[in-house]
Amino acid sequence: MKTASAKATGALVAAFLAGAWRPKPPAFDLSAADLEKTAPLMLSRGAGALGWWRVRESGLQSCSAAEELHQAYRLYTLDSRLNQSRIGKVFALLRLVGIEPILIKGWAAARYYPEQGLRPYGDIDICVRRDDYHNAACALASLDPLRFRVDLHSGFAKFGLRQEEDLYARSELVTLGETDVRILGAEDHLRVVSYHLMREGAWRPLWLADVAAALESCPRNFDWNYCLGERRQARPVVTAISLAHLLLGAKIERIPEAERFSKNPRWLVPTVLNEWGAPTPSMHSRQAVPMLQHLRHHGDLLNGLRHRWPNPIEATTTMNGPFNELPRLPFQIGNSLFRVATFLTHLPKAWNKPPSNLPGKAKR
Amino acid sequence: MTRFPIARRENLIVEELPGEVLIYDLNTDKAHCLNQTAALIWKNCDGEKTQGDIAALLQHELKTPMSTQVVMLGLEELAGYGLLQEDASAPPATRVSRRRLIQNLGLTTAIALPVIMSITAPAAAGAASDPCIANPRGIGCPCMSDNDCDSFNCNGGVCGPALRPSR
Repeated sequence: MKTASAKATGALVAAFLAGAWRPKPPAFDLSAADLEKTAPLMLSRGAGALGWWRVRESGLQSCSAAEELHQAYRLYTLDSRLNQSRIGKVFALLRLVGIEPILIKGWAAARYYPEQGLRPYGDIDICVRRDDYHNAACALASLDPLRFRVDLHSGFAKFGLRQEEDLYARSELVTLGETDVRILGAEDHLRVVSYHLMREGAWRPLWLADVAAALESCPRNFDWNYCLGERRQARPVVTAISLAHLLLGAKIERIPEAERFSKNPRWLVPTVLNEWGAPTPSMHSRQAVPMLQHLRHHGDLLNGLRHRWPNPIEATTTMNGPFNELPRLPFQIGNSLFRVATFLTHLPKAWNKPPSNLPGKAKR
Repeated sequence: MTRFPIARRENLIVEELPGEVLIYDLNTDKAHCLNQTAALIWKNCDGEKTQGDIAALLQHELKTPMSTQVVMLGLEELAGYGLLQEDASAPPATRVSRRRLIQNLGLTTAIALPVIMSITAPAAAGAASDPCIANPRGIGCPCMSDNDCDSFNCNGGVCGPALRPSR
């Protein structure tokens, strides 16, 4: 797909998802042809259920593309029920060894949607204090990895947050089924979903809907000064909010100095639309095949490198850069060099690891 | 088919939505969607009601004429999906033909016939928890080590099916 075409399709995806996180989304005004075109992209980016939520009361609800979205909605609704009981078990297990985890993304983001099945999540993201990481990993090792996909994080640095104790102090306990689970305070949640969206190059529209849903659910006493306080740290958050407003129509009137969210560098929106409209988002190609595999198959090395070139949003976020009109190339080079260095550090160990197994070999 | 059917309730996750009921079978890891009629039949299989009782209930709830044949069709479907308790003493069921039922009952009732469908991930919906992005990864995904795979079987750079433990 040519870039212009990808951007136009990405704009359709944005129009499709505008307001979709609300209990009563705006009337669906895309044509049947647009629905046919965008439904596969919505499905491939985890936004199928949200798409159904938007289309379900329109005249197009019974067409085949809408029925595919409906199936995704049903599937994610059941998935969400399954995951809720798993989250309860993970919390119980960690508390048994004296560790208090904090649940981020996934269900913590889904609770801002009118129905939790609208926001699917494949794994359970748990953050623990850095000092608790080893013990938490040992405790979680007893779980069946096929049923419990727990993504355990040491501290919160990966999500642009640093002061562990402050985060715990501002966190809250909410009821999930029969368990009380700890989640971040509303301000930190908005920071996490925003930072995560930007660090991943904004390739998934669902993540921008997370920002929009959190934004529109901010409590009256939401501390904007804390959320957007430190300028450098707040850059990706401000930009994510701005994207949610520009692309999905998220309401920003309640934010102090709301006008600052209307200004954006020219490259920002096209980058997002390009990701949303492309048949395969750039990050997807990168994650599908490990670099080591490209390296082992020399002819494929170039392909591997091509897939690893960061988009401007990812590069700017990871390099703590400002979102302005200046060229993004320095950040993209910086990001690539940093990742190459990390890869090379781990290469000897990974390279010398014996081949996994031969066909037919029985083990475990 | 037993005279007093009993629905299976164990190891199922049930989610009621407007006009349908979703059921996830923890024994088979399969998901099903019951339309309103199938759901009403399933909910009323309490071991005390006969097929005739259930038909009368359906007629009352759906405000459409219902015969015991409709209930039999529903029970047959429910049994096929493992959503009824098995009764070894029950005589083998007489198959009810959906097509013949529609011919006999007319289109108005046909709309209210019990339907159960399997819920499968739509073409690309699995990408929400993409098996090749998730860690560990699903069968067919590229891998470097066994730990990369759901099945703990990284075979020639691709996740293969789980292997039996060696003895």
